[in-house]
Amino acid sequence: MWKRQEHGLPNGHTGSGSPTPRGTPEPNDRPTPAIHGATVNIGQSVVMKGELTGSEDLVIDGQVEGTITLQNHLLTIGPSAKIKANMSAKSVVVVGHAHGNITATDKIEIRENGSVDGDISAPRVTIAEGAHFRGSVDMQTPPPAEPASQKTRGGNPSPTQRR
Amino acid sequence: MSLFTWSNPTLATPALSTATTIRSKVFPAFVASLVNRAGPVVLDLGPAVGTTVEFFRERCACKVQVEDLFATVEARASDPNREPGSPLPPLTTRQNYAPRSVDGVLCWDLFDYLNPELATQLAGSLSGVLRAGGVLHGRFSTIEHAVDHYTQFGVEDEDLIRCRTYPGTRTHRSARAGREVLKLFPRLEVVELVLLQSQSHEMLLRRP
Repeated sequence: MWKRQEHGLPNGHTGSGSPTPRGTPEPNDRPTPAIHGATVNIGQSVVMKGELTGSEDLVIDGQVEGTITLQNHLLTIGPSAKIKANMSAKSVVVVGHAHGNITATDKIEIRENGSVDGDISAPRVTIAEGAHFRGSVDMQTPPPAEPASQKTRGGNPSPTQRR
Repeated sequence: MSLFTWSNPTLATPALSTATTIRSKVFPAFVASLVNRAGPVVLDLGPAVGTTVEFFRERCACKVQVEDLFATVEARASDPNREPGSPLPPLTTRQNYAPRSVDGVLCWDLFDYLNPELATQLAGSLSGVLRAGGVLHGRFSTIEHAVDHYTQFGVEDEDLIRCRTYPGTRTHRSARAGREVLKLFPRLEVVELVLLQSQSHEMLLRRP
């Protein structure tokens, strides 16, 4: 049910464009203070309802309803996942179905076959061919108080985008 | 056991055709009308396309609202319980937009798939949400025919639109002459109208 994996994502989440493994950070990645190389997996048979918080990377393949908050970590909505929640994380990768608003301090990626029905807000947003999305896209710069928001990523938005 | 009832029945990934790129003479004017506006909001009625979102973010610092009303049209067309000819409820967007809150609307060829009643209702709603000086871009077929596909339009550059078709339920595609489009949008004025070889015309309308 709850499976801890070391060194990257579980099988099926490491294809082209997959989240960068911890050993090869993206150029803009900043080191995070929490556990490195650890990923928690919520399996397909798991059904959760409520508030989900954590301080490590998380892959969800089950059903979750409520809120999901991962400070400074990667949230992956797996291909079998059905999420009905507002989500907040450093980065969010959607391969399955997500219904709710998503906020990320770094990046949101909706992969092919991924589906999001909700508003998304992140400095960087990627929507793949074949992805389904319905909602608003707000690519604002992160608030200055956040440690990970010192750099502007993915271009220089005009001041009108800042909040 | 399932926690959820999914409200959107069209989550299946469409099989996209090979892309073709077309050069638009009208689209640059749409972009130009947004670049000098503060915090512009663009309402995209088509399927989400990453390049479109990136383009408007980088070029105009826009906030993009994706509604994908084509998915709603297809869901209705493929509904096995719907009786042919039965009245359809108005198309509704995911969000409620305040009057005069949107700077640009991308209709693509959505109106071709709507009967006159639905088209009039949607056109009235879109005209209402446009700010003064706001613009609406659309393509309107000049011939009636039946189609079994939709077209996904993606903005590649200011004058480059990428088109890819994906399969849909066979449905009737309406034809509208330029004057009929103007009747749909009585509160808007024509900025540009270009007849295309694809037996349609591309129009840019503006709210005065």
